[in-house]
Amino acid sequence: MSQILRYFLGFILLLATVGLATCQSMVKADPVRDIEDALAVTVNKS
Amino acid sequence: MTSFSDYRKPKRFDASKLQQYSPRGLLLYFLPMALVPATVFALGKGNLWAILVNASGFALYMLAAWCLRTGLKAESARIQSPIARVPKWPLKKLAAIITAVTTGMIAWLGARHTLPVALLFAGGAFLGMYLSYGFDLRPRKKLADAQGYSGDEILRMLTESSQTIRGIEQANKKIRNVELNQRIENICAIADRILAEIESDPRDIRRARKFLNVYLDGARQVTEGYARTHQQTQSEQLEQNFRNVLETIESVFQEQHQKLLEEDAFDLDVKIEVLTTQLKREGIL
Repeated sequence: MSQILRYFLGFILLLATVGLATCQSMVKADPVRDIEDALAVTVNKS
Repeated sequence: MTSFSDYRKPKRFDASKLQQYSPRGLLLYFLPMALVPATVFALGKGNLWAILVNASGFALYMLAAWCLRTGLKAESARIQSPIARVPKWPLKKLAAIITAVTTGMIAWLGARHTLPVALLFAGGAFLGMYLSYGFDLRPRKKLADAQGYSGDEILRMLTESSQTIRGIEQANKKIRNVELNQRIENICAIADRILAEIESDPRDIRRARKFLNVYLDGARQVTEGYARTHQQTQSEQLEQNFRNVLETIESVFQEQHQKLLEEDAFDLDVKIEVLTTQLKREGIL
């Protein structure tokens, strides 16, 4: 495997795992999401 | 204070400086930045568990990034100089393990994936670290005893000599003369090659002992002395004397290296005496 391909694959893997996990963690912690969820429940009830 | 004239003088290219500012390994400092707002959001919601997970995750990523950068710098120094000190811990491998564990933890506890999926995240991060940065070079094999010296003694002598060469390089940075800088760089490069030669075959230590003890130290004294003096006074005679000495040092270093390569048992004592005499005559030693 050429060195550049190896670096590229490593970069993609790091981006996909570390980047994705941290971003998803941020989304789960996002307070806006809670408000949206609460609004959706209210709309459904009405 | 730096005077205007200093900016006009040519600056030499320094490969080690380039390496010092290499961006390699910085990615790991930037990738987990999303954990900062994640921690703030968790703080806003008063979710203690999320605060702990995100904040500790961020701290662990920073630790991994530091380990990785330190490991990469040590590896670069080791490639440039075979005698360079090797870190006690396999820092690159440690960085990969910390990154994998932290990614798994964040995926499981932060992003709330199932445990098998979190393990896949961890495995992917570990593989990514390996592919991007590799693992640490294998530790240097212990030097064999030779010529009445133990392996540790030989390694200590080589390490001290390597430090002497780095001292010459430091003094060279203070000298503002491209031609002399180039000559000193050549001398340091040859000296590094001689050390590498001794490391690969410690039996050469007897023949190179005087080179390590007398010559190399003499070269450092001369260079440091000139670097100190020429900042205070500009003398063409002094510069010419220094140039002559450097020429002699360079040629004898080359000869020493050649002798080691040829495994010629010819003793260089006489030539060393000649150089010492010349150094004294030029008033530098």
